[in-house]
Amino acid sequence: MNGNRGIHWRRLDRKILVLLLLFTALSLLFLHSAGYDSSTGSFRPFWKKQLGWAVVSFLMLLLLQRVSYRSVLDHAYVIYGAGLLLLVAVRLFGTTLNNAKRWLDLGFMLLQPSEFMKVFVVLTLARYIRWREDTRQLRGLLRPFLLTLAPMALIVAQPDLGTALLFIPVLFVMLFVAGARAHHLGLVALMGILCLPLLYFGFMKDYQKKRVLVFLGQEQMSDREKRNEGYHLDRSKIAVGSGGLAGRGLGAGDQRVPENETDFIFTVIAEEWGFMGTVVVFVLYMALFLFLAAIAVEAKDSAGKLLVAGILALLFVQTAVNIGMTVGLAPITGLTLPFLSYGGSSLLSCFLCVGLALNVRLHPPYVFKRDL
Amino acid sequence: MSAPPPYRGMAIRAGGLTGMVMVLFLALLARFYDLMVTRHAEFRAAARGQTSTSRQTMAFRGALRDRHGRNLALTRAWPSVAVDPSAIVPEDREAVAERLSATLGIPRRTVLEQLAKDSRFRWLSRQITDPRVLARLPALACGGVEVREELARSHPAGRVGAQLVGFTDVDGQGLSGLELVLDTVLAPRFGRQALLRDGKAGLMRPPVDEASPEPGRDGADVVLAMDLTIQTFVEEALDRVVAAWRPVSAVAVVLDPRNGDILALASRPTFDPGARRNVPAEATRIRAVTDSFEVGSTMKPLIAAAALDAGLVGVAETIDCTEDGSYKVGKRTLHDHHPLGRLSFPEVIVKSSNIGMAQIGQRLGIDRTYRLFRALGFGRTTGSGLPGEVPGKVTERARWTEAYTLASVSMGHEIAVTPLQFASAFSALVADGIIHRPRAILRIGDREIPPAPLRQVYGKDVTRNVMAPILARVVTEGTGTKAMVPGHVVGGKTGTAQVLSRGGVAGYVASFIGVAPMDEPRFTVFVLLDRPRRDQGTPYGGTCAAPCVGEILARCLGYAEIAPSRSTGDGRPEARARHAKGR
Repeated sequence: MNGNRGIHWRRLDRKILVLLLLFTALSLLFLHSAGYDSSTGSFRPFWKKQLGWAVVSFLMLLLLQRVSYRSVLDHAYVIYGAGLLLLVAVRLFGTTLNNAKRWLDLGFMLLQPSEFMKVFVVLTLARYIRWREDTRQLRGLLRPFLLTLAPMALIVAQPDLGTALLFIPVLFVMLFVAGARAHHLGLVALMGILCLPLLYFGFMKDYQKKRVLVFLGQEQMSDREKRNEGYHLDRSKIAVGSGGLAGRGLGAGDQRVPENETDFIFTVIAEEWGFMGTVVVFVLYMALFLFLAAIAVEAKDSAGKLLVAGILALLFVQTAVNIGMTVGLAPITGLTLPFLSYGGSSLLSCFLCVGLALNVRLHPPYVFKRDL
Repeated sequence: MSAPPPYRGMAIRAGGLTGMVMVLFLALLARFYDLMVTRHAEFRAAARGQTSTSRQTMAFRGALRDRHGRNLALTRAWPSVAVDPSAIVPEDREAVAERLSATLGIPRRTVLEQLAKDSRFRWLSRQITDPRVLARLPALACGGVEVREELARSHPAGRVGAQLVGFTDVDGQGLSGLELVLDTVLAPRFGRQALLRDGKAGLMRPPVDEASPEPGRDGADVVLAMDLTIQTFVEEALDRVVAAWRPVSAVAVVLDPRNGDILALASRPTFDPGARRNVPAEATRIRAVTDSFEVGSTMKPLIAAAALDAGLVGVAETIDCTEDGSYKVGKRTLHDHHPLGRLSFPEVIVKSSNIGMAQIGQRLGIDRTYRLFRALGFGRTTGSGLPGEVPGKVTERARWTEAYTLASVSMGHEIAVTPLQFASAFSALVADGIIHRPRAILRIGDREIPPAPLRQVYGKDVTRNVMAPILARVVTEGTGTKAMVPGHVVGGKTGTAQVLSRGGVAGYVASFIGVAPMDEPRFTVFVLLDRPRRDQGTPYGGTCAAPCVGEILARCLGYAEIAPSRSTGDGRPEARARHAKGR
């Protein structure tokens, strides 16, 4: 066990680091645009704060490489427990913004524990599932589900349905990669779908229901809906659609979709850089996902594979849902766009995800006696 | 410890999922292509609709000013304060109310009531003019409190000239007086300012590169012929005479006989143009043009001068006004107040003999009299441009009879004229015979409105050398002595006409027309009281209207700094006498 001395820094994936730099540059560029306040003609300094967070996140990513993912996985349950405690703390002492209690005020920042809990759950699942073969049986699926549902419940209560629902596909992907039988997963999914009416009528708040209804009937939105529950979707589609092929030019967008520095940052990119810019961003994301997929495929041990697959699933679903909601392909939820949205917690957790994946490539795998 | 081998299919499954990820991503991209390229035009149009808007820009209604530029009615923007109760959280209400109440000087309870309303907008204080509050306003700005400019019409002269100036509704639309008739020129054209609006509506800014597509324009200022000082004299004099005689209504007109300028125009009842509410329509009427009266004897000089001018009667001629004070015209018997016997032509007017005037009227004849009335502008509106003007009543030419119509009109009956018509006609008699269209407005915006001399009604010689001394004698020795102004030569004529109703005499119209100074007439003042009280005997024009005219003339002469002049013995003004000697 030669922990740190065994790091081959040369094996650190430069391509991914360059990608992250590109993402960061894009993020700062469009956060500057999104920060324009037409009432004063000045810019709100989103990009400056984000730059600070990017530097911190990069350092954390590099720092993470000094510890093997194996030791991280070994402490997964402790981390998971800590994450749950943080969520409980949010429940008790959290800060409320826009009617949601999602943050812990640390004085220097508002920490959003759910952003990190996503990663923690991936870690925990990777740890739990790695050596088991009972995932091939329906019974074996129970515990992974319970591990996932506990933080989900706390997050749903914040309320943050979007983030909570993110856990489900991640769990499915990890179980699938771990070898769960497709028809078992299908059965569980079917049960979940059958439970949807219960969720809709039993747990969803009025504003959440309205969002779903508007999402389903978006092409026939009434003017009243456009001013109320359909406001975001309508504005967002107009912003994206008005971008056209080449866009209106960096900084020249005038469609201000509320929260365009966080959840709706993609509308700024689409409006100002048009379809061509959209393609560029898509290519960046696809490249990132392909790199991550390569790490997953090449990983020597199942824990590493599961970890990277979970991370890939997490980042992909979040990206797809965020981008999809700007064009009405997904209901509007409070999901940030990985690497581009404004927000320290979100950025740091995304960097940690990539850091973990890089770590899997950098560090030697678990070694099994049988292979020696 | 022996770990189980990893599931063999892991890599394949991970790879398969990655493929799915890519396919999903491409599908998402297709959606973007659809929105951004295929349906671009649709969304671009929607974006324009959402980002460009416009707002009305402020423009002011034109001001009404008197002939010396003093403001009679003007529009200014005054700050008004409103709150958005929904933007103030209940915990802050007390503190906000405390501050608003201290700043605006309104009770804290009132503010709290408004803050408790389930609303996005409540007025707290509108059109603030108190300088102390205005000084405190800049410190007021905070979330949920809005200060907006509101336009309001103010009337610095108050009730002075109220009917003439008129008033507007809360939106600045003229409702009466000149505000009503000049509404189209006074009304501002509100411009539209293009604005860019962003997602959070409310955040707006004018586009940097575009000029406002429709600039606004303030309404034109209007300068009246009215002189605020003279108008004030008239209002005060009317107040006094109305208090003393309690007529149903009272009218006063001051004209400049040289050009027809309406220097003052007032009537009772009146109103406060600032009050706006509960203004009775009665009080807003410009009675000098909306009401017509049979003025009686005041009319006589107009007929007599015409007969003289036509050479149908001589100045030195004596007219038999009968010993018993009655005179038959056809089947009709006319009476004088008391028997007058033989009178010279001037005495007929000075003593206001009905019998004498009937005979002068008979000499003038129906044709000439009718033409005279047309020339003096009776029976049609003067064209003063004042609202609600009526033409008065002149009997149709075909229905005139010598016994009735002709005899009656000679004494100022069977002919109804508006006070403005009459003052205008009488001005011709003292201004070398030239009648002017009454001029209420001197200037609209940059456009001057010139005086409008209409026609020569009387010969200059008759008016200057004959009529002027006779009118002066009315005041010095006749029925109009109460209109005398010490040190000045005033000319005039009284009139007391019965108002008949089914039950007999319902009252009198008492009037007096006075002119001064007679050598170079500057002011024609006509005061008419409709049915003054009769409990102290018949209210004659000479007893109730003449003192009022005298008071107005005295103040006007002083105000115009006209030097006193002595009258010559025969009642002719001194200047005239010198002039006559020179011939």
